[in-house]
Amino acid sequence: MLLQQIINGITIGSTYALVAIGFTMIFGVLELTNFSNSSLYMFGAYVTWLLYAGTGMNFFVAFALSIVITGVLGWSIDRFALRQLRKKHAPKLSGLITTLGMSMVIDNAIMVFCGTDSKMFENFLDFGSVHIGSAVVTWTQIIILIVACVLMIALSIIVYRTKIGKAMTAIAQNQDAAKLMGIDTNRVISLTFIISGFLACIAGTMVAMYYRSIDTAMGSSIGTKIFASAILGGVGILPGAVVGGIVLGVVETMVSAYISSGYRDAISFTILILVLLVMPNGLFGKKAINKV
Amino acid sequence: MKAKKALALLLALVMMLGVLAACASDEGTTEPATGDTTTTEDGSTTDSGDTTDSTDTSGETTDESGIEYNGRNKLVMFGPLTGDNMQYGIKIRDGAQLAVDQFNAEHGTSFTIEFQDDKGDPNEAVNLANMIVSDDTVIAALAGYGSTCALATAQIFDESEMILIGVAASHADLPSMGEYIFPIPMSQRLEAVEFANATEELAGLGSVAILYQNTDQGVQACQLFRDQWESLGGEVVVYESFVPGETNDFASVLSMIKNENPDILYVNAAYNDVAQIFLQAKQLELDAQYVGPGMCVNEEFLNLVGTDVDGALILSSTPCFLPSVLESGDVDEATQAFIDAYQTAFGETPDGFSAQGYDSVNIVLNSVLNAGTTDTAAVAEQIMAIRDYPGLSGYDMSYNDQKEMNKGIYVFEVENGTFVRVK
Repeated sequence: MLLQQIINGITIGSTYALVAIGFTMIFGVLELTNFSNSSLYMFGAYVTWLLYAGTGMNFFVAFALSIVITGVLGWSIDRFALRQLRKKHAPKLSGLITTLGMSMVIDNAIMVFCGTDSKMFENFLDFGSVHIGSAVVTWTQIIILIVACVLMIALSIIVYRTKIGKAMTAIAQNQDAAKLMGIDTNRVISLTFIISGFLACIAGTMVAMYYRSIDTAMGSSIGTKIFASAILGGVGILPGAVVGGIVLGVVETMVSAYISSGYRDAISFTILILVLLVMPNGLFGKKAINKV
Repeated sequence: MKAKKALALLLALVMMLGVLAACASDEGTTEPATGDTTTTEDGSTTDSGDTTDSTDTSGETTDESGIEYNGRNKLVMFGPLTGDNMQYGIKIRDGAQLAVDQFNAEHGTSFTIEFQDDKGDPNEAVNLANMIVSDDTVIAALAGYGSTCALATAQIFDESEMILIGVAASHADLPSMGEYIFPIPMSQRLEAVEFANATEELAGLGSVAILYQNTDQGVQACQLFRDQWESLGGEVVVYESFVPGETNDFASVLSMIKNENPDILYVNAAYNDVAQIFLQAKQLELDAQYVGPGMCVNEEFLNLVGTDVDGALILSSTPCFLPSVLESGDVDEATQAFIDAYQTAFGETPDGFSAQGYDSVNIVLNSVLNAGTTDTAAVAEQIMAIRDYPGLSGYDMSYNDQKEMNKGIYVFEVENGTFVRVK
């Protein structure tokens, strides 16, 4: 049973990790809490569903198209709202509220367009399950974990090993200085948003397949979890988001299995607070350098 | 500038008046449109509240049915005919209208029914209730859809000693709020007991794992289920709740349940959560008899689970009006006749709400017929005496001493992705 619970926890955790990577990346570059991330996650799943169920096209074509569309939406959030704010040197709080507003616009648009009832989502990754002792693991769970790890490694390489990644780090440290060094800050930021849109869509669609259903509340229910995962791992650090997500998932599962399923969130968030009291910068966080 | 401002103010005032006028005329026009066969005379005068002219038509006279009308021949239903819950209100309205028409045709009576729109808002319902109790041609009021409006208006009807029928109000407190208040849906308290009995009958008296949503309804229903199960001699091995909307991952609690190896998994939650729980339990190879609540008897539930949870039992106190089930021909004669008449009259398939509207009207009118008078106390006595009434929204409908509705319950089995009635 313990093994089964650990597997359950890792699976939920890897779904948190998938979305948390995109969230933490934007924070790393802009120091901006992007609330619209969870809406993009829901949006991505709905677009995939609308494309394959509505038009009857091949699922993987629909998935690819949906990734592009969600990426474009991520880009337009930055292009049409946040960039305008940066131009006017608005305080960071305005950006935060803007993303919150964007999130509501997206949520409500989907609600009006698709209705609020749960929709059936076919699982195209259903390749059966394997037994490890008495525990059951489905291939869908394994694929979700693999995808989370692959994306984490790929993005870590981009952020820590390439020129564009260096540009991101530079912008994170000082936007004006980066601009003076000849970095096209707007282009780099746009790219960050596009990538976070891609990730949100991949995560949304994978999770939709795993639970075989989508509903308009799926974004808001995961919103606090990805926030917590990113903070637990150390905000802005990609491997931190993945580890944070998995740790949160496992803790939640253990609470629900051995203490009480009614209090799972209450207890797991209490644990989160306790961890942060001991390690204020998260598990992987470095000491914050206060910029003046 | 000043003149402009004054003009703007004037225009704004005119517009507001226009809106108010539109509201008023709305209320006036709802019933003639709906009750074209019966309410033509009353419809135009309801705004003033105290109608007396329509009494002339029936007056003190009795017709071939021999009922003493005493100037009262009208039922009034208030329910959401517009707004968020209008789909339910309309279904109830149509069912009620059909019942009145059929009753009049069969017994040669001259009852009418009037419909008022409360938009599902308890404040509106209270206003309407005050208007209804001041109308002395009304025999009984019907609170369409939901407990909120019925509870809000119960006191008004109790004080005026008018019969109030809660068409779809299942709240446990409603029957005790007045001497003349009767619910039509099955009392939750009795429902939980019957559910436990039915589970024992169909799945045997084994160990049960209960997983329920942490809401008023879920907590109450599952406590009663557990008590009944234990008093039958069964064992409850897991009793866990979850907060709806917080997560749709139940793998952890289901793994724990699997470890306890129960014979029965009883879930009380909304249909989407039940679908998730059953699917994830299947995925974890949790081998038990799955039992779900009546909230699952809908098309969406079947879409979510497909054929993966075949064999699961769904317990419900209302019958199933899904097209797929009706097509299978698994309905009795009375229900089929109701469906045909409803389709002829309104061009739609009825649902459980239509059946409740239909039953509400018939229960009141049959009681009037049996009492031979429209006197409130006499009619209420007849309603109280109802035992094993063969309704369309349930069978063996009976009131107990606390005026709680008791019914026989329905059990459906999920088979090939559709519901098949097994009890």
